[in-house]
Amino acid sequence: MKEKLNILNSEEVESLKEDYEVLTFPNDFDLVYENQIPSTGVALIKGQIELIKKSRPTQLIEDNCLMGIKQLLEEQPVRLGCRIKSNSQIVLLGKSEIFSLLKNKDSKLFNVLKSLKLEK
Amino acid sequence: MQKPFKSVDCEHCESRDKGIFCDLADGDLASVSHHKVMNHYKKGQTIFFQGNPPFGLYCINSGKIKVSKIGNDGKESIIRIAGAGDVLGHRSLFSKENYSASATVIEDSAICFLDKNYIYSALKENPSIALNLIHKLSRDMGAAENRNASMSQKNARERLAELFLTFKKNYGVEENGRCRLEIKLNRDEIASLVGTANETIIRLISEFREEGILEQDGKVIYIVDEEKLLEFANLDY
Repeated sequence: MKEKLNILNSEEVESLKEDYEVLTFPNDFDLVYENQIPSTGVALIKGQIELIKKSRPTQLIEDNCLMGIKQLLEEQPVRLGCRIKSNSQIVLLGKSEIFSLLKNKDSKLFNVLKSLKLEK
Repeated sequence: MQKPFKSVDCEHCESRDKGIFCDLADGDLASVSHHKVMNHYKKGQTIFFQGNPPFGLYCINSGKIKVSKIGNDGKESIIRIAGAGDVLGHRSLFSKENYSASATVIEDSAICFLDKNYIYSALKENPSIALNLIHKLSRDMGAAENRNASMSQKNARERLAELFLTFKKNYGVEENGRCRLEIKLNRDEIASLVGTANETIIRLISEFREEGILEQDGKVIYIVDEEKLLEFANLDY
């Protein structure tokens, strides 16, 4: 069963790149392990993210995807681990960034976050 | 099915008095709690990887983590062991450099994460956090200086004795007249901390046992004769 993803449009991606630091990870990195709560949400700008189940890759995610926000705010463990592949460019959104975004109705990302139907 | 996960509020954290937020009032701690994410990490899992960019700070609630560097030859050097109350990733975060080392769990751990944005704003609003961070950095720097001096001035036997004394201080539990060390490292890891070969560590530990300084029960090490260990370490305590 494949993980349901939030795909960002080009305007939303540009907004992220303007307002937040785009990080490049030279080495593969397990951002969150299976059954953990994500420490940040992640927007994949360029590159790849592997979803991992029982230490095995199950799905490969490519550009313009937003993940982990709902699980972060609702403190829900993820079903699949998330491995950032080397040289991927990502934006990480911590709780403080997300709280700010949820208060800013003018933000291009506000509607994206609202569509997640967050419980907190 | 997901296992139920139990997070701990900062106000009720067992390591509260050892951490950088120890001087915060309950109201301010509630803000830290609201922004933190707590996770359990299993032995062998990586918190952060050498060369990657930092994006927050990690506070150790419980467990043990080794901070290590991989050299150009692929060899691992352990820089320090972090435990309850310690922070990880602060040096890279504040120097705005990529991680110079990796952090890997050596005993199952509970670790809290706070994002960079929150940490910077918390530091501005609560100077006590900055002071506690400075205190930790100063202590880490002192330990690194001592270790550097030991590497050049002491032989492997003295350095190993010194390491066991440090373990006794940080992880020792008195039990029936001897001190159980509540840290489990393999020979390679001890060799890395001492800065010598695995074979030398095996020989030295065997010597320490024959001298009656240590006892071993499986993987658990007990210090039996601290005075002799102090002599071997060539230290004034």
